[in-house]
Amino acid sequence: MQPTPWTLAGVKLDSRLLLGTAHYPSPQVLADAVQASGTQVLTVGLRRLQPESGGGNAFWQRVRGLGCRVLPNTAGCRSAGEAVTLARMARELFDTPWIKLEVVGDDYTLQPDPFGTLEAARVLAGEGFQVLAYTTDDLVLAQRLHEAGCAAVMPWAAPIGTGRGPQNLQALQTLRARLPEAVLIVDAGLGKPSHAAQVMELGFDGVLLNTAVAQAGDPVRMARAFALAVEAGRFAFEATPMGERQTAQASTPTLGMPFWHQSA
Amino acid sequence: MTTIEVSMNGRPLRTPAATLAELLRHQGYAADAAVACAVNHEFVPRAQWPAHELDDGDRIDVVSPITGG
Repeated sequence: MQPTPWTLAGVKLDSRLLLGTAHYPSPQVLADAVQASGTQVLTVGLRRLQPESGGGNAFWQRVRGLGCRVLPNTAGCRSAGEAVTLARMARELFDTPWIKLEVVGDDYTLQPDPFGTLEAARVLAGEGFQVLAYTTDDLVLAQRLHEAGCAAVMPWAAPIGTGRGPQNLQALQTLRARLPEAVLIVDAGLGKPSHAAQVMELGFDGVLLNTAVAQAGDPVRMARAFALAVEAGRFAFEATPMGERQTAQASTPTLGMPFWHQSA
Repeated sequence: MTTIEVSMNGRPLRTPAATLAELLRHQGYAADAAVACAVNHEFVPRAQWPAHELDDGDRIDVVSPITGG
């Protein structure tokens, strides 16, 4: 039985796990983790380059060699204007219209700025970008981002890098129920494979991870663990989990039970 | 020689460069470097670097791929 393919920004994908490229112990561990995860989409960033530092060509060559689609981010941007400019730079540099839109509203929690995110999403979608918007689990904001033409809406499970797992499953469930047509990817805050399985069971289209894999004791093994969890969660969603019951119900039939109605 | 004062990636810089392409060359960026540029927070496509004239006080950002989540 194979996982059901899905479509992200017009591209058919088999893997529902998107992986970040930061914080790995070495480039080789990153490459091995990518392979173990089976991911087809890698996130990358952009930062100022001083000429004496030799350039980012080496990193870029390595990432290209991994054979995945690249998803540049606007991490660290604090206004819609900054994010739009960085997205335009990313489109030229990486030769892709895909952009993971991040506009940070709070330095402590790295909570997305809802107003800046929506403003930038509208501009970028209008310029032909495939916008994957990082957001909170706020329903109305997610609806607005979807209406703005985002290729995917990506609510957090918990603040970036915390690994705490879904802090509000009810909100995530509501997003899925209210936005049945949207591509929804849980981005940020997952720490363990069980967290990924949990949100995939709700019907999310994918998960985006970085720290949970990169900072694990064995990133390569953890990459594989997450891949299996994502797949398991998706299979479970497609299989429709049973409804919960308030009372116990025996699994083994009671009919033909020996000693039935016999006193000892 | 006429020079102008600009900032490049946050560093002040006095340069004789008249265009963005000249500035990048003077500063040692390879012609095929994997970089993208913005001047005064506005993206300047690579094709426009040779024609993009610099002004005194311009703020230039040169970015390159790095790891990211």
